Amino acid sequence: MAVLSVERLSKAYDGVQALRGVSFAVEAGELVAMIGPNGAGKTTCFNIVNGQIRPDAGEVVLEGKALTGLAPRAIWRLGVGRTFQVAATFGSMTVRENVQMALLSHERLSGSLFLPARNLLVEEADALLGDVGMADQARRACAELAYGDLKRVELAIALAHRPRLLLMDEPTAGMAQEERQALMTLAASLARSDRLAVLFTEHDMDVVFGFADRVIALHGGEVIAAGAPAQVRSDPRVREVYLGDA
Amino acid sequence: MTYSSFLIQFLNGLASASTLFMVAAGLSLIFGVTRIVNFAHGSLYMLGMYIAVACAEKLGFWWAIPIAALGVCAFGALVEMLLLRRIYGAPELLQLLATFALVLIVKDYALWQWGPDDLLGPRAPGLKDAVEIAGLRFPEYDLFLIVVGPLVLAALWLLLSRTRWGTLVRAATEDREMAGALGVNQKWLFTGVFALGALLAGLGGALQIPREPATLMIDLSVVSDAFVVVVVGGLGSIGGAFAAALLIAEIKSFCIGLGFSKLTLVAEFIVMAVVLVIRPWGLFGRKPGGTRAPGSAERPLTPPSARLLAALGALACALALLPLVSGGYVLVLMTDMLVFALFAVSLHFIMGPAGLHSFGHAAYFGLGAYGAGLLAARAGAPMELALGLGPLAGGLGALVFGWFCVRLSGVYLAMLTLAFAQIAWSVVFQWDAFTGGSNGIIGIWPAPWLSSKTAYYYLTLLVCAAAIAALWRALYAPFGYALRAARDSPLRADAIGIDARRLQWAAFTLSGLFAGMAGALYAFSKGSISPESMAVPRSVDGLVMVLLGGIQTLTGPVWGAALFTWLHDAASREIDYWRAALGGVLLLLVLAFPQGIAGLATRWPSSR
Repeated sequence: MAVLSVERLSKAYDGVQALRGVSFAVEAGELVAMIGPNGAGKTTCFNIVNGQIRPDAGEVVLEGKALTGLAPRAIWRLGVGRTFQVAATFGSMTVRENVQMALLSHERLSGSLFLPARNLLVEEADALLGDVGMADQARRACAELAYGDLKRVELAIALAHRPRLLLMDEPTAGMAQEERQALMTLAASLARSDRLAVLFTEHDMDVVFGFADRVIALHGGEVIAAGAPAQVRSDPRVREVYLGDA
Repeated sequence: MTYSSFLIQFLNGLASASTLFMVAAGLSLIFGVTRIVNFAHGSLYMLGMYIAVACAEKLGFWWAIPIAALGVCAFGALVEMLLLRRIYGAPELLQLLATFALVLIVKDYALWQWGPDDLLGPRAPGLKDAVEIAGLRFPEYDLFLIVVGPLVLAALWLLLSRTRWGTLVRAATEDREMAGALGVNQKWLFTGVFALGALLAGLGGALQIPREPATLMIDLSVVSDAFVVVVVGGLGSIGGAFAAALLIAEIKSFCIGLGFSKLTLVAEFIVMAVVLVIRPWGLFGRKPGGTRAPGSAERPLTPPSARLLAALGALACALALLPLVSGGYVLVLMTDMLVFALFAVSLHFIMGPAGLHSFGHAAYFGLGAYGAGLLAARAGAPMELALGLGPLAGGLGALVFGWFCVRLSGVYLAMLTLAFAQIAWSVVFQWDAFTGGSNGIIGIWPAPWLSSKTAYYYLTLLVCAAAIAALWRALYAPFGYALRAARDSPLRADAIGIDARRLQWAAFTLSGLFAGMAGALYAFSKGSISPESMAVPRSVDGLVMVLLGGIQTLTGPVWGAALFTWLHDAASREIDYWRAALGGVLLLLVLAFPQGIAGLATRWPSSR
């Protein structure tokens, strides 16, 4: 069974149809890229899966459980991790505390009034930071990190509760070329070792065709092509949308 | 209620709505362009009333109205050029503090110029009589007001939609940076808008003088009414201000007309609550763009250093030994300092880590004080029980008000907390039979074993130290971390399963409970309690304490409270017009440190 299956999603904003019956699935251990020009419906699709927007019609199902209509925090509890286009971390905390916070929330300890938070789940947090290569910077303030490092911390946060599905919205936006490759290599290896399903949107075609196992191309709110990278790359409709070829 | 009395109440409401609309529209306009919530807007209204009454004696009523409006307009322009222009880049809280300093100064000026007694205005020549409507008499002047309100609305609409200046104002409201980039001269635009807002407030005040006397209390009651109108109507919307002013004024009028004048505030509260639940940004408002995150530059919370712990330990020893070397007045002052330290720490708990800027924290202090006072004086409960249960009133108040407050953020939140505090204050002030009204409650004395100043000082020291330690502990616990997480990045907090609203609600309630504890201790230390202890100035005292000590530090509020309490005590004993003096000091501090008085304290590492 697919980890994520999206069935016939539709969404309109003030009469503008952003999505028309979009369906796709993501299997465990595979990286799926969602591409398309601006306005194709990528972000809408992403935000519906994540729970920030409700669809007009259609279903989002995670391992047999319907996610449609749930709040982002409820969807997170069911096993969906997420990174944002602009890395979202807690600026007034250290790197380690950022990850601890996600772990504390997962253990349902975030309402606790007595235990000192900094001593809780330290080993677990450091292990996650080790996975993304940030263990040596655990004590630094998050606000003073380089952007590439911040993205890695965000990845550790998103993986803290061992999600089944990882959503990454333009994971390499704002990064230098080498950093892009490094971050995606890291994400891909973590996904493969945990048999995690990964769905990401991306503008950088090198990243898309270098890392995705499958590619879904959206245009005008519809899936115009889906399949192996080489297949999507040579699809005439995709070429038409991107290159203006007839 | 007969048809005719219904009609009369309806007309009454329309008449009241006109002046309310003028104040609220000015507040809304000023905020739209300058992003400053003008706390002193009610003071401008009050100034309009006093000037009009004073001029009417010499020049006649119809000359007094435009003179008062223009006078207030000129004063507004002056304030904008001399003060506000310097602090547009400052943090929101400091801007509010600066305008509150103006409230203090204007109030003391009015006291000095016109004395403490209410001034009755003349009736309007030519409109002194009443006309008969549906068999009942209705003042001609009120009919005139009913016409003036829509006329002002129409004039504002024409000004904003048909003139170049109005286009600039709308452009700046929509996108200030863009308007600036397109070459709009912001300096004069801002001055003009502030002057226009002041003109409207002055006009509203001046037009009100045949209907009610000018008093020194009107400033805060008008500004909190205007806040309610603006929150209900939607910040930045003139039409919304008009609709909300009508709604609020009609509700007031019908409550009074039906003989439930005591329920006016409750009805107002319910309407505001319903509107905010359905439309959090008001009837005609839009969700504001990203609010400034005050904690974005904050450094991570480190556990207290050995040095700080040693210093706190030494302080505790010194405080414990104090009664051996001094007594009487020093102990009373120290008791006050401890009580206000707890009050300030409880306010900092939501303002700092939770990022909820409350402008009405005194409500919970007062509810705790009244809770304890009523239990002791009215129900005859033993002091120990009253002191234990009283704070629950503060917690309960915060539980109810907090449910609404945590749905908003930024200036909306600040205005709503202030409006709630004003409502709580008015209920206590008006409910003579239960709370003793303006006289308050007397004879709230501690149990015999605590009746000496020394014994009570020890009790206060013990309770406040334990309570402050408990609040700090919560901030080091996952709860405090989660609060900071929700403040730093609501997006990320939501994406890792943190229910920000519920946490903030819990923090608000907890903070109200501890403020109530401070209030209960205060009541027994003074032996009496009056509405003044929960009025708006007390809320602002709390803000000043927190900002003085530094909002980004945990211990800051304690030092801030001690310093402020001492200054306040010294000033109120030595200086006649101490409010103005305090306002002057606040203005100087804000002008000297526009990036935050807190910056001073953060330079000393031992204070964090």
